[in-house]
Amino acid sequence: MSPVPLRRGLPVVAGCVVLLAAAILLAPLIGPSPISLARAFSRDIPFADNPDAQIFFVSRLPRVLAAALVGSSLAAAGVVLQGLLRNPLATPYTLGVSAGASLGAMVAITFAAALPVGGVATASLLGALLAVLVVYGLAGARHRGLSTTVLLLAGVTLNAFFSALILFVQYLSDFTETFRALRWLMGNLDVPGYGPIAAAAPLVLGSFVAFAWLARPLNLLSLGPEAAGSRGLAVGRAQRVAFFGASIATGAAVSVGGPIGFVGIIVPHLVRLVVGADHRLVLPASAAFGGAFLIACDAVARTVFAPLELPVGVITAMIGGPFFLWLLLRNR
Amino acid sequence: MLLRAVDVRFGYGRPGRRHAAGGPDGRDALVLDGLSVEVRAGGFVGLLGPNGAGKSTFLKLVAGVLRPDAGRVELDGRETASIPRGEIARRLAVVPQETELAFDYTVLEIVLMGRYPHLGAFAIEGPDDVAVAMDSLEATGTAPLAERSFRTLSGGERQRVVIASALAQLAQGDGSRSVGRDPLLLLDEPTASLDLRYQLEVAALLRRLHDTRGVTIVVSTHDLRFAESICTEIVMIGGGRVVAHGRPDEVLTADRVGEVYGIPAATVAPLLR
Repeated sequence: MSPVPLRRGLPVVAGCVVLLAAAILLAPLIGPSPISLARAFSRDIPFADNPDAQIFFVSRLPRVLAAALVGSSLAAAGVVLQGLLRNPLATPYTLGVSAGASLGAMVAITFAAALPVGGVATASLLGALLAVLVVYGLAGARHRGLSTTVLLLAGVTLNAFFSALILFVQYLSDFTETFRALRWLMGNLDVPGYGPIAAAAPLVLGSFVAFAWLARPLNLLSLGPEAAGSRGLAVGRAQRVAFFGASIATGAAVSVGGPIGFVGIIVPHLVRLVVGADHRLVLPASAAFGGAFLIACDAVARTVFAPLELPVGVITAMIGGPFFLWLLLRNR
Repeated sequence: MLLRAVDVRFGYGRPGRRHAAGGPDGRDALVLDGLSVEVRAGGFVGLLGPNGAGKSTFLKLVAGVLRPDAGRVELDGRETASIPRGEIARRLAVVPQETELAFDYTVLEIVLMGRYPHLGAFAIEGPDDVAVAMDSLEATGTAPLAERSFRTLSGGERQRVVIASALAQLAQGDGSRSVGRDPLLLLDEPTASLDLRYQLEVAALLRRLHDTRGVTIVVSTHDLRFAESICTEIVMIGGGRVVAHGRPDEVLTADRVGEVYGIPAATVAPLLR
């Protein structure tokens, strides 16, 4: 009797979850002032008199949780969009969500000087929503299902057009605004407390519930929409859930950390090398490993040139470029 | 009657502007123009007709992937539009001309995907499903390939694995060899991209499935010899309708084939037995 193939991959998924948990616990220990995990979690010392706990929970944990949330969302959204578009080179940003989010953030930074806390995040979320609706309107307009070809074309075109608008907005802004905008575009996880995470978490959780249902439909979609339909899949519904779920997860992630690149494509590739193609393994493993990966990248960004902090997007890009060259040489 | 199409009309593009030839820009094509045909259980039906005659479209309509603009398609006397897609998928399976994968699935994973309509939304394949998959691989002679990556297979191997996936889709869930009642296998030019040896292999496999497992087969093809040699009946489609339906020797005459394909009968004659 052959074993069920899926079960062989489950230990890898469990390993990725353990890795993420370990990263969340250990990454806050890294920083200029050394702290002890035991003291941070000690119940004998009141919080007010416990600097280790204060540094752990107030100063460092929000940033680590932001990295976990953003990394998980981008990696999972990458898997879903790659499955939807049947293209392993798709990223969470391929369909224009990040360009819309960036435009929203740029407009907020440039034209709304006195923004309330979270104003830029809200504006970026609105920008992402605009991009999603435009792309969906184009791809769904004349077809019975979603046309993935039109999705891809609309996304690429929208990316280019919004990039032009972003440059235009930048041209209108002064030096301080331009600097702030540039920092935002590089991707940065320096969140002011737990607020942004709490705001984005419901969106991410909602899309992850959708992803849990999507794992098997994405396997079928890999065969092509018609073959998937003849196996009993409601193709149009699966495509819409995939498109909106991935877009919401991406929009939420970008509103927290800016358009951090490469996570949504490196992580799924690495995970597939280990567990194979089954989305029921690739999705949860990528979500967990993506969080751990971005926490690690952010730890490097915080420490390598300390006390200077690098934007985490610079680190992921510096890992991502060589990674793809390696992938290219490996597959030759 | 296992399968019945009654006066089916279907077109692509804008309904108001359809032409038989596809209109000025070729997009608004009326493909099926009142097609009626019946397939009884146990048949081995060859679907012939020129490119664009509507063979593939007809198969998609039967599979429920497309819905007719007018007329109806019935499975066991029930209109397919009123049958849940999962139920249709347990009764009939489709084998396309070619299968290109976006990701690197193993052969066993591909065959297990055939179990999709038998499982709940979050269910995982159990040992029974794996047994069905292994049995389907045995039946198509591809069991030794189970752990291979689908993308590394040759065209003929791929086609046999996709047929195995279709068999797994039609099999009942109790792990027995038996396929469901009156299983129906639709194949869209399954040998078109295969070399001679693989064409013969796939033809032999289809005949075996028909004879030993009681699978009803509807296969579209351009290969006259293939159709003559293994089909028990031929449906000739031309201009979006059924031009002729009967035994191969009745339907495949030089005059009729020449007329439907628009070539002189004298040119066709040597191609027929």
